[in-house]
Amino acid sequence: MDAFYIILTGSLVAITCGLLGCFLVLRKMAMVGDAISHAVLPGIVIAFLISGSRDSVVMLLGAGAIGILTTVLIEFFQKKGSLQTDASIGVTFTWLFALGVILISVYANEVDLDQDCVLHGEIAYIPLDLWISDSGLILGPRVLYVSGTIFVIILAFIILGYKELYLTTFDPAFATAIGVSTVVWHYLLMAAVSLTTVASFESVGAILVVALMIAPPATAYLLTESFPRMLFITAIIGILVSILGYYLAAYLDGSIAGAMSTVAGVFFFLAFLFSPTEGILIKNNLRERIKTNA
Amino acid sequence: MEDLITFFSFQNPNIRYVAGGSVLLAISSALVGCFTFLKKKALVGDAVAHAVLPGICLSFLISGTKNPIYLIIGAFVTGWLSLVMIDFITRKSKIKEDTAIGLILSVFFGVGILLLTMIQHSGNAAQSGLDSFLFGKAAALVGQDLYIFSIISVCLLLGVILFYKEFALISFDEDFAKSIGFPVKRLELALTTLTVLAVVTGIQAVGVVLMAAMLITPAAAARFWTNKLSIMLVLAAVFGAFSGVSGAYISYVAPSMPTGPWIVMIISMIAIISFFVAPERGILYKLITQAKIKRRILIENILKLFYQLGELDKNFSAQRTIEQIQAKRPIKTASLLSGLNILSHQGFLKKQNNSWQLTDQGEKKGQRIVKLHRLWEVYLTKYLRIAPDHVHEDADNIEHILTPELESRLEALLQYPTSDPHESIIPYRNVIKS
Amino acid sequence: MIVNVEDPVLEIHDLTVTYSKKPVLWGVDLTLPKGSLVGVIGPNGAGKSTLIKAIMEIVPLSSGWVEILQKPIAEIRERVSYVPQKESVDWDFPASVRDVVVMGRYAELGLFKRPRKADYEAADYALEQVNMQQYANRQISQLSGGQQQRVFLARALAQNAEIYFMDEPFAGVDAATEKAIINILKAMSEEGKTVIVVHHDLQTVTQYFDWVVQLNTRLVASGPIEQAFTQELLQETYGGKLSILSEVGNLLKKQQFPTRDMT
Repeated sequence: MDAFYIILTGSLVAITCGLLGCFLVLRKMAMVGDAISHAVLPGIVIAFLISGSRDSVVMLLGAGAIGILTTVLIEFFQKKGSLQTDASIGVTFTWLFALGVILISVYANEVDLDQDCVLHGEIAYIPLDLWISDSGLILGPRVLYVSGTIFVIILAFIILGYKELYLTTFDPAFATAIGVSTVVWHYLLMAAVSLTTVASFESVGAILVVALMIAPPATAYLLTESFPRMLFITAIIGILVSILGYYLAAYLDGSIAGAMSTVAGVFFFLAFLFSPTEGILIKNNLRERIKTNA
Repeated sequence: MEDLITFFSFQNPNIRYVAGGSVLLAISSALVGCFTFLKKKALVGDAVAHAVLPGICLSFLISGTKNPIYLIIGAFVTGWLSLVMIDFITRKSKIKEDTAIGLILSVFFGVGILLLTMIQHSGNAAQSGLDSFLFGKAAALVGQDLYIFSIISVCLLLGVILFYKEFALISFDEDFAKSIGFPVKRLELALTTLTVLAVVTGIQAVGVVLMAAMLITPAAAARFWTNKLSIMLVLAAVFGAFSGVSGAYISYVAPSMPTGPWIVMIISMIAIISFFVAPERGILYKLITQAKIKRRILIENILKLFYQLGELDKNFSAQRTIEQIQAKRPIKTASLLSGLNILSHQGFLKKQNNSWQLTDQGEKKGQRIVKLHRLWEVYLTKYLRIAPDHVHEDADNIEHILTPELESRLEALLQYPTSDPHESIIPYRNVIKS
Repeated sequence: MIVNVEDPVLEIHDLTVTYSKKPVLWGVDLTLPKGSLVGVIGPNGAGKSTLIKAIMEIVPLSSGWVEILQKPIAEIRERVSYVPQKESVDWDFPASVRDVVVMGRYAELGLFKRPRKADYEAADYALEQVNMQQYANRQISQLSGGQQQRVFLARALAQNAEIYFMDEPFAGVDAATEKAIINILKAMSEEGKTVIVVHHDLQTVTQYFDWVVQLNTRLVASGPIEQAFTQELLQETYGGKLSILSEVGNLLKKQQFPTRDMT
């Protein structure tokens, strides 16, 4: 049963991150996603200190706001300081992440987070942290419900905003011309990314969030040229990554998050080599065959 | 206080080693980081930093020891591999560079975490301290480790000094370097190797996760202060060294604190402060410059008004009150008063009771501005074909920026026009020789 | 030579655009008549693309205003269409030809609504007009330059706007496509639609357009071809920089001077 809860939570997190990641990858904002996932840490710690617990909605929203703040800061350094983009991202998120780790260390007694844990989460423990209702009913792991709720929210966001997100990703100039605000949708997307990061921190930690936001979408990108299919493939890969990652971690006795990243990487690698349209081995093969036929 | 003195007297050899080691590590990263910064490949350093983790763990697994040489080799191999793969993926598929970087970064790191946790769970006693690679532990730098890493840092420093000119050129203009016959590929190789080495040594102090900061932030901070590469390198090294020493100090007085994050905090603060106060590029500086310009525009406008009022009355030395001035151009009273006071102070106006009058200097200056305004209007209408009723606003702005040199060129180009598009006379200082 | 018209479809007043405080367009004033096929020409860096982007408010204006059909653009965006340069978009994007063309219908659809059958039919009709209907399901990464341009044009046509701005639609396009496109544009102009085209090839200006705008950081000329496309004016546009103007521009940038005196 535990395995089921873990795999289910992992899948939900993987799908949520992956769907958002499709947009990030196509917008060439993969590293901004990476930055946000690190930068929310101080927000989480502060929210924890204020609210005293991990699961208040306030914490999620407050910490999520830090994600938007991060984007604002990055842009601030870029525009007002004329600092190049890559450095703006690098300076901002390392600073904020360092701040977060220091806060954890300083408030070690009041904050139930641990330095290493923030990197890779501890999804293996989630079945132990059960949501028990007032009447004593055990409803299952708390984190599962959090992940599930975020999944629903993000899915709704993508469905409702599908064409605006699609348009502003493909052709921002045309979008502005016809009155679709690229600025608004950019910040909405960043808000979604930070909400997801914050909510997933506990289960999978910072690094895996990034891996799940980038690797499955990159893999799907190599496998299809239809955007809806890309979203679908990303979701499927997310589920597979969760299942295989769990069993790999069990076999090797290592971190589940680490195992999931590894599996995600393997999938990408396979697609990179063997994708029917984009795989380099396939493309080379085709070239050879064309040469010999000619 | 006692701790501070004890630490900085450097009498304790341990402290010497730790402080010295941290400084060396920080400096070598800062220097190499300047070049990656200039090539706009700052985030690639982040990927390399994350990618060394699996190499370290694999070395441990294979050799069974924490021998620094083996760990370095392992780190180097995976660090190098990550760079190769990023480049390969970007070139050979439709995957874009930022995605390739994020992908390699997170996957390699994930593999590293998997291996690390495997090692930790295996109960092998020798593994303790391996996780210090995550966030760094300057205080753990002792004896042989320090010796080896210091040698690498010194090699790095030498490498940068030796190849300074070449690295500078390929960072700035690769095509040009190729065209004059520089072995660009091999130089890139050298720079990449140095970057990986810098990462491998730097993570001792700050750990894998924050290593990127040691490459990027000192360079970013230094960039705000100078446009010259040599100075940028020196500044970055100084900033890096400062944060390195501070980190070592913190490691000494508060052993439970994570060193890496503190070093990053300090260097980030340096960068953020630079961002605000650096001359020319700093934000505060820009704000102050803007305020100064606005002030200059205001007082020049006031002088212009005096002159224009003088033209109307045919009397340039009349006393003017605030109300009279505001009737000609609605300037807010507070700004107007402030401007009038500045002008009196500077000697362009003379105050008497509640009215002001132009001095000789004031009249000359006011006249010049009026002249520039009208000359520019002629230029706009004649050369830019802008409608006469649209040129006033532009002239209102440009009159404040025309230099005497541009003034004479305009005069010559327009052949000393006598009036502007609105039939106002253009005042010249001397009689024009025709 | 600047010809102004009554009841213009597009009116630009004192338009200045700066990049990092350096003016790239300086005090442009012009009006354009409805139903004309306008060519905007000028040397590289003259600000032609910038002019279009400023009209569409894709880049901010440092001074001046623009009115289309006597209204600010924010009020009538659905009636204005834009065909950007091909290079502005990543053609590796996962999308089919039809996906891109139906985007032209988004202007009318508004938030949260999905494209309906009528929208897809409009898209298909637009594809027929540019002779790309057989490629409707093709992935855009597989298109040639000329086909890409036709897809962009179809998107604009699907919008069924009244005024169209196109940025270098003939760049990197084969002769057959160019011919096909210009015929479509002429037909549109005859229907009373206004089409404004940033153009790079001086040889074809008189064939293609009935009105020309000559730009080189400032407006040199705007008017019917016979009046505004003369040797003398061309020389002024292409003949080299106004050195005083560009020096003043550099000064403005160097000293970070504001573009307009606000005191």
